[in-house]
Amino acid sequence: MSFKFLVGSIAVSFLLSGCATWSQSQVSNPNTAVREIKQVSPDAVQLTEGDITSRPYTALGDLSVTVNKTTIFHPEPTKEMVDSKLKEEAAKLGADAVIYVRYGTVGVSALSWGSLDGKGRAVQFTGN
Amino acid sequence: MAKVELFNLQAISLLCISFLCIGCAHSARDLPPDMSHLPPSMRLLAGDTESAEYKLDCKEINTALVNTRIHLKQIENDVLGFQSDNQKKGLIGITVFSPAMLLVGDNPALSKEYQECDQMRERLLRIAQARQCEIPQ
Repeated sequence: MSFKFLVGSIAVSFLLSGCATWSQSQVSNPNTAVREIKQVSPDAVQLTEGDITSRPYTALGDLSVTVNKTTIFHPEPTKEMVDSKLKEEAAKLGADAVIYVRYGTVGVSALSWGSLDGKGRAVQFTGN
Repeated sequence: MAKVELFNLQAISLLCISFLCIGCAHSARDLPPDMSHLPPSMRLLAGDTESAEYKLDCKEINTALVNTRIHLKQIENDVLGFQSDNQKKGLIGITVFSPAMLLVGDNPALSKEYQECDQMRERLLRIAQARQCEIPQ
C-alpha cells in the first residue's frame, strides 16, 4: 500500500507539477572574441524576427529558451514569455538585440503541461 | 491479484505517456548561419534565389508576408486547441482512468505546416531585407 502510494505520488507530482524549473535557457556558439560584457537592461534589448541590416553588429551567441507551464492551472506559455526570457538571456551577454527570433509550437511534454521554446541570435552593435 | 494488475496497468500507462509525449512540443527551427560579414543584399540562403518568392516585387512580398503571418496565427490557434484537448485527456488520465493518458497525442501535420509557413515567412523577410523593401510590422 505504501509502495503504491509512493510511486503514485511521484508519478502524479511529475505530471501535475511539470518541470521543477519554470524555464530553461542555453547559449550555443558563444563569441569568445568578445571579452568585455557590458551592462544591459533586458528592457533595452531589441527583438527582431529577421536580420538587422541598418547597423553593423557582432554575433555574441545563439540563444535557446524554453518556457514551461508549471502546473495545469498556470496559463499557457506564450511568445511574450519566450521574448521576455530571450531578452533576459541576451542582456546577460551584453547584447543590444536578438535577431532571427523564432518559436516552436506549444505542446505537452513528459515533464510539463505545456512548453514553448524560442531561439534567436544575440548581437551587439559595433557602429551606428 | 486483480488490484496488483490494475496498479501495474496504471504504472505502465504513466510510464508510456512519459515516453510517448516527448515531442508533442515542437522546437523552433535552427538559426541560419551568421552572415553579418556580408552586405545586406547578399544575406540570402541557398535556395532563396531559386524560390518563387524571389520573383515577387516589394509590394507583392509585403502582401505575401502579411498573409503568411495571418496563416501562422491561425495554425498557432489550432495548435493551442489541440494542446487543450491533450491537457484534458491528461487530466482525465491522472484523476479518473489512467489509460486515457495514452490518448494524449501529437499532431505532426499541424507542426509541419507551421514550420513550413514559418520558413516561408523568413524567406520573404530575407528577400525583402536584401532588396531593402519596407517591411510591414
